[in-house]
Amino acid sequence: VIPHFPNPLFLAIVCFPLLALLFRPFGRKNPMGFRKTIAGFCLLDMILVAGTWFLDRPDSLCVSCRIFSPDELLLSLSLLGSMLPFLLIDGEEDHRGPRPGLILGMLACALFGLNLSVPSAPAAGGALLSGGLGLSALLLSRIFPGAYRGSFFFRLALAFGLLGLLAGAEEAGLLGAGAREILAVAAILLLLPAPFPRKSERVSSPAFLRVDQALFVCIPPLAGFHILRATGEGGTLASPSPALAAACLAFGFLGLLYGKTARFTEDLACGLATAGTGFALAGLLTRTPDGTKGALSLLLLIPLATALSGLALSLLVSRLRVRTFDALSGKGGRFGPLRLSFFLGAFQGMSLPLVGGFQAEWAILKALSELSFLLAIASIAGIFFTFVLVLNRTQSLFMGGVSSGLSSSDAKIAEEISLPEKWSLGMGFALLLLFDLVLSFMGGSEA
Amino acid sequence: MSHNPSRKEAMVAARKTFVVHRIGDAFFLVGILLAWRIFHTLDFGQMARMVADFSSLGGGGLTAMVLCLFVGCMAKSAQFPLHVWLPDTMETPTPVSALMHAGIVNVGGYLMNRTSFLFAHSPLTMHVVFLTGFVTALFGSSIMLTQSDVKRKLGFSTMGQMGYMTMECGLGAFSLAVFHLIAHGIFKATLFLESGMGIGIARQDPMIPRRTAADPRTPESFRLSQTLPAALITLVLPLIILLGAHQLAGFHLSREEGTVIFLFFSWVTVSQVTISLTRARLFDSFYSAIPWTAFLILFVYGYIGAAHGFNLFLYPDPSDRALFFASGGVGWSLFTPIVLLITGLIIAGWVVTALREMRGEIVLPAWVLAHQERLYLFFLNRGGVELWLHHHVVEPVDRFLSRFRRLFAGREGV
Repeated sequence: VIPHFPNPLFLAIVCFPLLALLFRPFGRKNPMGFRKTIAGFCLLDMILVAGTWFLDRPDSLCVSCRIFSPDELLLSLSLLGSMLPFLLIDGEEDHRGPRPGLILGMLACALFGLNLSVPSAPAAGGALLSGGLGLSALLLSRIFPGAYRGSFFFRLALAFGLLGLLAGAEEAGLLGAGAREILAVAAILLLLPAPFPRKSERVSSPAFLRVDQALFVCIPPLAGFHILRATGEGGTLASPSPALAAACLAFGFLGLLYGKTARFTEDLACGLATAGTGFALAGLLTRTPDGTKGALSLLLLIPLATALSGLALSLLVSRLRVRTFDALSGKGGRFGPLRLSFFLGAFQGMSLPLVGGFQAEWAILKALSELSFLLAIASIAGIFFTFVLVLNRTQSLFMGGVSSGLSSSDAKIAEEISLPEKWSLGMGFALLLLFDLVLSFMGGSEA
Repeated sequence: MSHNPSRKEAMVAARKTFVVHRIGDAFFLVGILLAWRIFHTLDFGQMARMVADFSSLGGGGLTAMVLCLFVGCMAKSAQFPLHVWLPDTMETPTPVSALMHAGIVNVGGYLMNRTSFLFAHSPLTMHVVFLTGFVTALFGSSIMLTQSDVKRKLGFSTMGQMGYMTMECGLGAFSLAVFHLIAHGIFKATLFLESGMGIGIARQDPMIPRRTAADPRTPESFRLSQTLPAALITLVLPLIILLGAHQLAGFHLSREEGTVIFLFFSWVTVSQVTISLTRARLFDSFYSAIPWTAFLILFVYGYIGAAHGFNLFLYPDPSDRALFFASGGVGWSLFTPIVLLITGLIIAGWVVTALREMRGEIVLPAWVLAHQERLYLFFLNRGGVELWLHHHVVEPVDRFLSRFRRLFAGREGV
C-alpha cells in the first residue's frame, strides 16, 4: 500500500531541526552554542521519529494511530542524514558561506517538492523538486561565482521540463506507459551527480562543498525514490523493462568509472551515489515486489551513507587543506573517527552482511535475475568493482601511516574532533544503524 | 589482519585477502541466484527434496550453479588459483595466522558439506572439485618444500592440506573432509602457536636446527631398516586398496561404500609422514622401525574407523552416501590404473632415494636435475602466479580504466 501523502505530521517532524535556525541570533557570540542547539534539535528529532514510528506499529497497544509507515520512517531518516552536512557550515569560517535563510529556502524547496510528490501525481512533485534544485544551484552560483558549469543548469532545466511534460501527460492521459517510463527515468538520470560534469572546480570552499553535497549528491536518489515509488504496483507506469533497466545499470557503471578516475574526494561520493542509484533504478524497473522493495530501500540508504562518508571526507579535506586523492594519500591514518565513518558509510552498499545495503541488494538481484540473468550478473560484477574501489580508496586515504605533513602542534590541533563534528558523525552513525535495524525488522517480519 | 595500519605489507595483505574473498563471493552470489531461479526457494530442505527429481530441473543449470558455489568455496579454502591471499596472511600477528589457518580456511569444506546434496547431483562438478584439489595439494605442498620461512612454510602446508580436503570432497567422501578439517585445525593451530616459540628457542640456541646434512651427528649410512616400514606401507596398503576395490578382501569395512577412498587417503597420508620422518632421519635402527610400523597400522585403522563414524554421523542415510560416492567415482576401470600409477610413482621415489643413499651419489641424469632446479625456483617463487596476475590482469585493467578519465573531461585538471 502506498502511504498517503502529504502527511503534515511527517513534514513537521522532518522540518523540526530547522527550528534551530530561529536560535541563530542567540548564537552569534557563541557559534559553538548555536551548533550544539542544532545538534540537540536533530537528536531530539531522531528520537521523536523513532518513537513515533514505534508507537505507530500495528501491534502497538500504546496508541492506536497510524502516522508513519516504515518507508516513511526510512525516508525521514534518510532526509535527516542528508541534512547532516548543513550542521557543519560555518558562515564565519567562510565569509561567503550561505546564509541561514538561504539554507532554509533551499531546504523548504526540496521538502516542498518531496511532500507534493503524491502518488497520484509523482511527476508534478518531481518537477517541483528539480525546479527547487535548479533555484538552489542558481543561488549558490550567485554566492560562489563560477561554481557550476552552464551545462549543469541546462541539465536541471531539461529534467524540470521532462518531469513537467510527464506531469502534464499524466493529467491529460497522453503518452503510453512506455514513453512515460522513459521520460521519468531520463529525468532522474539527468539529476544524478555523475558522470556529467557539474562543478567547475573553481570553488573549493568547505561551506560550498557541503551544501553542494547535500543538495546535488544526497537529494537526487531521494528524488528518484519519490518519483518512482508511485510507479510500481498499481502506479501509472507498470511494465517491466529490460532495456531501461540495462540503461540504468550502464549509467551506474559510468558512475563507478567516474568514481574510479576521480581526482577529488567529493567526486568519489558522486560516483558511488550514481552507481548505487543506477543499480536501484534497474531493480525498480523490473516491476516486481522484490525489485520495488529493494530499490526503494537502497534509494533511501544511499543519501544517508553518502552523507556520512562525504562528511568524513570533507572533514579530512578541511583539516589537511588538500582535496586530491594523490595529495591525501595515506595521510588520513591519524583520524580514526573519520576513517570509521567513511568505512561505515561507504561500505553500506557493498553487499556485506549486517548492513542494510545487503538486504536491498539481494532483493534487487533476485528481481533482476528473473528479468534477465545477464543483468543480474552485470550487477554482481558492479557490486564487486564498487567494493574494490571503496576498499582501495579507504586504504589509500586512511591507512599506510604516511605523515600528514603538518607540524606536530598543528597535527595535534587537526586531530581533535570538535563537538559539532562529533555530533554530526555520531548522528550519522546512529541514523545509519537505526536505518539498518528498521530494514532488518522489515525483512524479518516479511520472512 | 589490518591490526597494525602502519605496517604496509599487512595492509596490502588484508586488502588482497578481502578482494580475493569477494571474487569468490561474487561467484557464490551468482550460484545462489541460479539456485533461486532453479528451485524458487533457498531452503535447504525443500531444495534437497526437489533436487531428487533431478531430471525435471535441467542438468546444465544445476551444474553451473554448483560450479559457482564451488568457486566461492575455492576462495575461502585457498584453492588454486584463488590461493594468493593465504601466504600473505603471514604478515599478521601469529595468533591471527593460527585462527586463519585453523579456522577460516575450513569454511570452504564446511560449505561443500552443507551443500553436498547439490554437489552429488553434478558429477562433472565433483570431478572439477577433485582436480582443483589435486592441483592445489600438489602446488601448495611443493611450494611448502621450497620455503625457508617457518610461518610461510606452514601457510603453504595449509594450502596443501586444503587441496587434500577438497580432493576428498571431489571423491564423495564429504564426511572424511570434515574429519580432516577438524584434525588439521587442531594440529595447524598448535603448530602456528608453537612456531614463534620454536623460532625464539632457535635464536637463543646456536645448535638448533641440529638435524642438517652438515651436522656431524646425523647418521651417514643408509640402512635397509630405515626403509622397511615405508616399503611395507607403500607395497601392502595399495594391495589392500585394490583388493577392497574389487571386493576381494574379506574384512567388513571393505563392504562399506567409500572404504577404498578412506584407505587411499590413509595410505597417501602415511606415505607422506613416512617420507617426512625419513628425511628428518628419525629412523636409525630396525628396533625403532617396528613400533613405528605398528603405530602406523593402528593409525590407518583408527583413521578409517573414525572416518566411518563421521560418515554415519553426518550422513546416516545409506542412499545419500551411495549417491556421493557414485557421483564422485570414476569407475574401477579408471581407478585401478590410477592407484597402480601412483603406487609406481611412490615406489620409484623410494628406489631413487635408496639408490642415492646406498651409493652416496646422485643417481638422476643431468637433464632431470636441470628440471629439478627449474622446478625448485618455480616453486620458490610461488609459481609466479601472483606476478602473472599482477602484470596480466590487474595492471592492464587499471590502465584501461584510467583511459576513461578522458571521457569525463569535464572535470578540470585531468
